Amino acid sequence: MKKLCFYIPSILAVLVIVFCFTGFLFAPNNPDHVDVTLHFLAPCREYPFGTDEMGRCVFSRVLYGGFTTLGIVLFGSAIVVIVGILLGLLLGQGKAGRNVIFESLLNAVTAIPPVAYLIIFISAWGNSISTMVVALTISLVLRMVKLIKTKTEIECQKAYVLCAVASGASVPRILFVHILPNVIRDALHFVCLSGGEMILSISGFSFVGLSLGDNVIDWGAMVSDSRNYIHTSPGLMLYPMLFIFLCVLSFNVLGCQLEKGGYIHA
Amino acid sequence: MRIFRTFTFRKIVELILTLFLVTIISFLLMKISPVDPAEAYSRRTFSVFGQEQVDQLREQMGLNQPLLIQYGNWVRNAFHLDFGTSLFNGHDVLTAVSNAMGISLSIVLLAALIQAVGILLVGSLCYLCHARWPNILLTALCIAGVSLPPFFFASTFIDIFAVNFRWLSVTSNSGIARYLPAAICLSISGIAFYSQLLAKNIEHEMNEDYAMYARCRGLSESRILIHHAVPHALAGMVPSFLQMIGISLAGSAIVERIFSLPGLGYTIIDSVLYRDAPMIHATILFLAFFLVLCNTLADIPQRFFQKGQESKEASV
Repeated sequence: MKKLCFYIPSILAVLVIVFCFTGFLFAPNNPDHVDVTLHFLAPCREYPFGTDEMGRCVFSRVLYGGFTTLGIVLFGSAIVVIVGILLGLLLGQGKAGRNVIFESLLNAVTAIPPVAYLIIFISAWGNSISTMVVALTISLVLRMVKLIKTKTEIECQKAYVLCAVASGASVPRILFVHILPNVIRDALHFVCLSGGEMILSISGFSFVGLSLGDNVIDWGAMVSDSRNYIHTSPGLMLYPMLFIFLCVLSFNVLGCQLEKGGYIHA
Repeated sequence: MRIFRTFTFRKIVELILTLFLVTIISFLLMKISPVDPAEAYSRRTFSVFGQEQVDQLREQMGLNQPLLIQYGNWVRNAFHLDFGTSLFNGHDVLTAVSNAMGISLSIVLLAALIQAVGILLVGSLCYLCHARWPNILLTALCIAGVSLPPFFFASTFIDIFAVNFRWLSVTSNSGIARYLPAAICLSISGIAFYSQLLAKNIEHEMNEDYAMYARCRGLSESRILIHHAVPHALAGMVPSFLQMIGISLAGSAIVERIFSLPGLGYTIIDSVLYRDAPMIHATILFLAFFLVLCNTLADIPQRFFQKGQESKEASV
């Protein structure tokens, strides 16, 4: 029973994220359907969150926006986890990762925070979904490689790895069977925390006017579009904001739970 | 002394490498960008223009040369502190960027100050009333503070204080009042995050052996807290706090935009919207420089702590 209580926050967080990501499948209305006669409707059975200034269904738009924003974050994070862990393990184990030039290069690249990478990429390419995915992936992958590399180097010193070597385990077996379970929790913790941060930055940039594209629905743009109507219909701004809050909160909760341990038994 | 020298040397190498990498990235990305600065410029300036006009402009800007030569030229000029003129309004880039840098720095430093005070207050409050309802309330507030986007604070701040109450005008303040709202909005998430960390650290320190020893000596709980636990807890947080100052310079872009303060982030976003190549390169260079500077500053106290510990261990 106590164990179950411990898992509840994580399960809730995962549910929220899955709901926000796949919710667009259950959207009651077409998010781009404009019907000006139905603008600023109060919430009703057909439009659960009401309608916006052009008569579009806010609930459907929020769900589609979640697909865009979370899609960027989840897709980027998946690449980051896979590539980052692979590279990190290989570099941490071999001699190749130990030379001075490589290390200072890695330090130099990771000295710049992810937000700054987003700014650099946006400033060169303009904001779009592909820019966001590329910028997010590149900035986080390098940090992940550094994290896993350092962790692997520490693990390699430990007795169990020496024992595994002595009993004749091959290098891939040592890396993936023995070391990987010990580093994966740090990797997931890192991804969860940066995922929340990324949602904030992505919606922030589209909020200040660097939209993700002309016909792309996303939470930041929804909030900034509805700011003009905050006094007449505050729901327009509050619903997407609530979903941003819930998603970031879920990522943070997941990160905390992973840090506390018990989620994955290594 | 030798360790110190190699440390300085390594930091300088890292600084140069970072700046080199960042500028080459911004040039590379600019090159493979779908929008051409020359075309964007002519679309903005002339109502009617032909292809040859754009080509001529491109030649004038030196955009038809190979990337390496462009980059070499830019670096050579940068060494003479000549970053060209803005394509958008023809102002000198260096003056524009240093003005923006001044504004951004005032916001970020003010925010850092507010954060330092806020973290100390909220963190010790969290510790003092732990396991009671104010702590639960504070923790919930802190979690909300970390999870809510800064642009929400900023826009709500304007909507409430400037539009509803008319306490402040958003545009025409001068002095500290001009930067204060932005700094407050910027510092909320930092306070929320670090005060939790501080509370946790203080609790950890209060359970250490030396705190036990101090209790045995008959020192009062508050004296142990103020003279022993808090300094120890703070010392562990200083490096990451300094790094965070650097990061918030990049993160302030959004808040500056909302408060219409022409800081560094504001300038970057502006120059992105106008495809203003010289401005983009210069702002990114300055941003990276400041970030690396903050990282280096964050490393220095860490080195000293390490050294102190090593010498302590050696003497034992």
